[in-house]
Amino acid sequence: MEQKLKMRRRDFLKAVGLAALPVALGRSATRLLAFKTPSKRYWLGEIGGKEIEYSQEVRGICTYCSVGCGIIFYKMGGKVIHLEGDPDNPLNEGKLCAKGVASIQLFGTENPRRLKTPMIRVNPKPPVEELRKARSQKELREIMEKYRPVWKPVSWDEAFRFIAERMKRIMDVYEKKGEWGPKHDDGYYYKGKLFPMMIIAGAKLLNEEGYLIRKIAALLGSNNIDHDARRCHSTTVAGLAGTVGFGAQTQSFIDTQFISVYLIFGGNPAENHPVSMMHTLRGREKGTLTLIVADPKYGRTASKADIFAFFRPGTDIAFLLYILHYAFHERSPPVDQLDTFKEMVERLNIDLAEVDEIKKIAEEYDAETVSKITGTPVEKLREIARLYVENSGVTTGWKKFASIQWAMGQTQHHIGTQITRMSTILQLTLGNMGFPGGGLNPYRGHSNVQGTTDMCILAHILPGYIKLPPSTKHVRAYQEWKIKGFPDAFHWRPSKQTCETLGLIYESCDENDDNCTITVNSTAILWTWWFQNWRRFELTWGVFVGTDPEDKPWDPASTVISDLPFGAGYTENTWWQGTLFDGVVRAMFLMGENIAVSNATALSVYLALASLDLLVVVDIFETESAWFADVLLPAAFQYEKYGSITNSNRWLQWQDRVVQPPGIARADLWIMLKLWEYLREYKVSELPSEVYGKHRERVIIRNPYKPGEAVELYTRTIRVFMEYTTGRYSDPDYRDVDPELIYKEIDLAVDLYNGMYDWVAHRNLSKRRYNFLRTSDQIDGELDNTYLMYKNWGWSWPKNVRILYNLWTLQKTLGKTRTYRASGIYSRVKGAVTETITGETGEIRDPLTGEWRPAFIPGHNFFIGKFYKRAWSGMTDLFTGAEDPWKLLYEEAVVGKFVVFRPDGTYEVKTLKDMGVKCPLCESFYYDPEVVLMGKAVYKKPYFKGEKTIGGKTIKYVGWFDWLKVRDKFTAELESCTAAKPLKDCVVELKERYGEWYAYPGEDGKIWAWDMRYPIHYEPVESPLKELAVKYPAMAWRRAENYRLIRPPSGWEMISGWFAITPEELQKPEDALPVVLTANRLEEHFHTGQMTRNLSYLAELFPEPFIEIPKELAEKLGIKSGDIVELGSNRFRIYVRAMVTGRLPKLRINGSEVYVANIPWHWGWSGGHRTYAVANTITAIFMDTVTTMQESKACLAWVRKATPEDYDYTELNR
Amino acid sequence: MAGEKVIVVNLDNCIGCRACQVACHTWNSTRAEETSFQPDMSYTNPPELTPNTWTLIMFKEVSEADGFSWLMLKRQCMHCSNAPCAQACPVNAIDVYPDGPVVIRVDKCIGCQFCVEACPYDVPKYDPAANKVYKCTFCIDRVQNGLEPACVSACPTKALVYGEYDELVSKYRSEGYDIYGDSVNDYVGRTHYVYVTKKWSGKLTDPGYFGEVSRTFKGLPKDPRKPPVSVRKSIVEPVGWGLFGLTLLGIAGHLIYWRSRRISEKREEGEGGGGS
Repeated sequence: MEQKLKMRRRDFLKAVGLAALPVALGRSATRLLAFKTPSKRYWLGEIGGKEIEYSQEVRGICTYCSVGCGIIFYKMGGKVIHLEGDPDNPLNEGKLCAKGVASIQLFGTENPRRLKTPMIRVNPKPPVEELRKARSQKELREIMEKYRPVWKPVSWDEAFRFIAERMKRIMDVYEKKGEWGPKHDDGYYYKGKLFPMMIIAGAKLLNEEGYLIRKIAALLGSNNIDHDARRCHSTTVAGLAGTVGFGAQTQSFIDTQFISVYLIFGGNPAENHPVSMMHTLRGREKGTLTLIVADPKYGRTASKADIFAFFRPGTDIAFLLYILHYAFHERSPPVDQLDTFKEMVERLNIDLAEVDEIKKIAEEYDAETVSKITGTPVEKLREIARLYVENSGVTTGWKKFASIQWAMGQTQHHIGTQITRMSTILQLTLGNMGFPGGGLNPYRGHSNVQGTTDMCILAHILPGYIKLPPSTKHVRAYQEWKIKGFPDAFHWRPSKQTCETLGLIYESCDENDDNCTITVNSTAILWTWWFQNWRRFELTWGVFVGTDPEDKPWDPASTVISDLPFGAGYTENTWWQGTLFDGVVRAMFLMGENIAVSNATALSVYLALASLDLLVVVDIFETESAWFADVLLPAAFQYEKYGSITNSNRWLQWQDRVVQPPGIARADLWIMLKLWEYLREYKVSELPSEVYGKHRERVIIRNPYKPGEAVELYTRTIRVFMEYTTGRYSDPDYRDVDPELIYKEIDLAVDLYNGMYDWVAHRNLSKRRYNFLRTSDQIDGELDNTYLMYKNWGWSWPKNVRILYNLWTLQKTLGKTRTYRASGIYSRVKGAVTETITGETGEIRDPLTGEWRPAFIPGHNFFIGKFYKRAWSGMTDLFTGAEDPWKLLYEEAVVGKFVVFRPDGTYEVKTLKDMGVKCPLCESFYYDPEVVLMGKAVYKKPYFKGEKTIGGKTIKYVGWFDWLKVRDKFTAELESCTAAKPLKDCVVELKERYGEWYAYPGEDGKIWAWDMRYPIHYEPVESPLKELAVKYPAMAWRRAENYRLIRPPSGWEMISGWFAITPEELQKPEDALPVVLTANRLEEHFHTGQMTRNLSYLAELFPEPFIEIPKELAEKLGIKSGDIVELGSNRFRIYVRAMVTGRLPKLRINGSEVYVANIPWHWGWSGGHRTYAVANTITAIFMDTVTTMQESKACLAWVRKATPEDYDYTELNR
Repeated sequence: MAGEKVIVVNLDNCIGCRACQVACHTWNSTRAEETSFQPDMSYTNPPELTPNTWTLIMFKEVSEADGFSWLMLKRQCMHCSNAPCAQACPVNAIDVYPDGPVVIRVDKCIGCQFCVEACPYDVPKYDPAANKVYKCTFCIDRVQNGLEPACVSACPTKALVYGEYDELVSKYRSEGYDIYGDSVNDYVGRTHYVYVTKKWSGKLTDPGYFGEVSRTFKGLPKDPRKPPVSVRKSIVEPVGWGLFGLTLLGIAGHLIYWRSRRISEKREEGEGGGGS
């Protein structure tokens, strides 16, 4: 192991400075003529006129991608004169990419386009009736220019009053009013999908902001909240979380240097995460890393690859299944015959029967079959599979690991969740999971998209991936859990009603059908985890979820009250249907996102945006979306804010405000708080507990030994908590809302992030900037100093674990173990045991001693964090009780009461002192070997389960072996139908006939439908070959939102024509040729381009919109590089420059020639370097069956040569 | 020579992100270029070095018998030890530092463009508005104050490495890299920007690879050389200060002649030279 020479920045400067002293030195051997030694000495920054030596330094994190590069800002007064990478930060070691360097131009002093004041629109918005007819760039331009927004600057108060009044009016005439209110026959709660304002809050928000906006939405009674993670890695989160526990990168960027074979498959890190390549190329330079890139296009990462392969967009699963095919069916011996494999399966708690099923599936995907689907030559597939498998954990005895990287290439498909699951299954099977140099590397897009995902600015979950209450019965079960003493699953004795409501396996209940003994399985554990987190929300938000009265949860006379809204809301990809089809979404609060450019099938969004009664856009520039807005509010960007940021590999780092935002622009945290305050003032929404009049909660615990008896520990005030003024900041925004207080709140409210605040030393651990590696005697020290984990830099969830599922590294790759002698709470519950540590444990503060101790013992494993035990089960509330959030968070005051029941029915109430508790806020969770090893990787994950009846037909979801019995009949029927009709009609016919898609009558008379338990190949919905579209039909039609695209509600029939699910359905001019279109990003630009097109240093690098097309196709169409081409799909037509290149392929798919074209999607019509050629007007919006991710990486389009008149690009920057 | 500095461009590590290009702008406060799409130049933009663009990544796609390469070649002043530009400069406005940097003194530059003529790498660029010539300074105002040059400091993949000349060059040589720059020819001497590669070993000066990257840049020449400029510093210098005034007159005379010739040349080639 190469030990890096650690040098602090200033030492480095000194060293280099001395060496660089221009002393009179002898002349070089090759010099022919003497030059006089120049006398001129320059001061630092002389050439560019930057007086660095007189400036003040502020540290922060880069605002673009998710690598988390540190930046040092040099400012003089309110102006930043220079910025440079932070050499102390181990993620970037002082380096930055083009965007990071250019980001100095984002500051208001540099950028005249920054918004400075709130504004209200004074002219009409583009009308839906006109937009309905727009089908080309030219038509769109005419409409938008006609309704170009005219703004009136207003004060913040005026702006918020306008918003609140308009919202109030919307609520008053809201057509779903009857369904919307908090009062229902079965209790007081909101249905979260019915709140008429959609909140979209971008991944540029910091953790505190993401958390606060989700909290606000929930307290407004709304789950109509979502953000761009939906469109970027939602399928990663779902695919991974369902398989191994967490939807996140398991390795760190730094750790990629230890990989043996790195398969870049669906990502382009040189383009989108440039600084990550520093670590990856370090391994390659050492000669220990082989870089393989497989991609539909040859990009900048490919230029550094040892092996490159083209493949067709959307055929990822087939490609990866071939690697498994090689491992199971071509390799000798097959990997599952290896002792290492058997050992792993046992140790990692993987079910062998499940492995057999996927093995059977992989059998079908031999190299020839896969080559026909993907277009990758057979030899290339073999070469890649062999390298990958032979450098994996199971085949090398844990000496080498192969790893896989992806980003939008895997995720943005209608089967994205299946693709990311496929990657996970591959890594699990080959023993590449949970080791340094091995794992899963989904690189995330935005600087804080991991954080905003963790904070769950999402329609279906609450901060920390917490389930929403599904029904009043579940709330009753929750109330019962509370009065059982807030137990973990291992100590939980629920009633029969609770067991039946939650689907728990139980036996032997007592005579009152209570105190049942349950089987502690993942269902039971996850329910207690969700309950525990609902309780965290109750305590920190000052709200109530439960029954009144508290002590009789199942009594029909008690009333259910839930301040947490029920049921998932609309997502970023479905909300437009909520507006156009369902009449629910009437208003939108759009923060830091530009959906007019980023939404696939953008026309759908234009129609919906134009239909809204109120659109508020909060941004730093006048975005394309703002052209549809009523109100435009000026925000601050990352460098102008305080807060924590979670990078892609889950590290939390802190950003300090460098300078104030321009004009009266404000931090988003303040803007959202004001939104809440004004909406409350105008009584747009009231909490169910307020409407009911529930102001106190009696916190009681039932005596388990004496039915009917309960002990009241304390009473809690129910009053919604949104008080964040602490006096710590004097800034005009932060003086009203203290981000550090919210940071502390997150630590307590979100279990996933618990530990990021040190309640003993009172330290914000995201601010930790200590880049020395731990010594072997410290927690995880050996791993830290061998594998460069930098465990003292910032903090990482869960519990500062740096490599997820790292159960085994210490033992297997280092050949060592450590012993942990129980102390503190651990010894209280476990006795004087010593445990063997075999992996990375993370750390936790012990509530009794206040000392750090290892968290996950013997190491971090699947689902851990979600799986837990609690030492204070049945004895006390969380944190030993909290009377009100302010006291809890600001004063760190707890109730501190425990009740200890004895089997004879007597009990005693004890205090913190009696119990010897030093840190009640550290709570008493522990993760012993029983919990750790209970976490099981889920090979088999049926996304549809059981039976349901639709139109008198019983549909039964079946596994692979059953599905095989009817599969051929299903495809044969589809095939015979398509002989006479378009595939679209046949989809409708079969779906109507059998009530479900991928379904066919089985031998028992029921309709058997494939339950999607394993990934298999499905064609992209818009498939370039009809025979493949029929042989491997798309799965899209399982989801109602997709089915509505080809069977739209009345009034919107036109939408069906937008989609060509076979080449025959593509409406294409005579002189055009069809292409499979994929879309990508460029290193020099960022997403919708606002943060880069408006920066002259970046715009100069790629000023104009273009499409990359393969040489041969260009020749056929008579197109030369630089020509204007027309790109069309059934949805829209745009005009861009052609970049004719050898970097895009002509593929041979199932015997036919298929061209792939690629379009960067950074351009739009607002700001600098503008054009109405919005790439996403062309892409398709078929949604993932699990998460509603759009299929924007593979669609059918056509290209032809066009005339320059159609091209409308203008620079406007100067 | 001890103390002599080098910037190594490791082509195998360059991902073409152009952080160097932007860092050069921000450090030196040079204006962004008004560019447009560059046909047939891959991702290269602006197409050439300019008075405001002192460094530039040139992209080139190369089809090979056994595959495909996408080259990314950083361009900037090579900082020659023999600095032909400095020798050509009639007013001693180009400083050649013993540790490597070759720096135009903007305060002394008279805009005569002899250096432009003398440079075999087509680096110095004349700005008519300022009547000055500009080029990379080796970030002299950083290196003299103990910092790495701005491009090196930014480079995310450590494709740019700054350090002791002999030490670094021998390190790369011993690791089997092909090297361009440490001993070029008698005209430029050795360059203080040095290119290294394993991947394209033996191809650094092959016009099929790094040659013909743009209309005017013909790659890394094996034998960089320019026809002698009529008034060479090497002639001017020995004449001594007494004749300085006379020399200036001579220069001025030449300048008038030379400029008119150059302008007419420009006009002739003007038709095809659209670009930005």
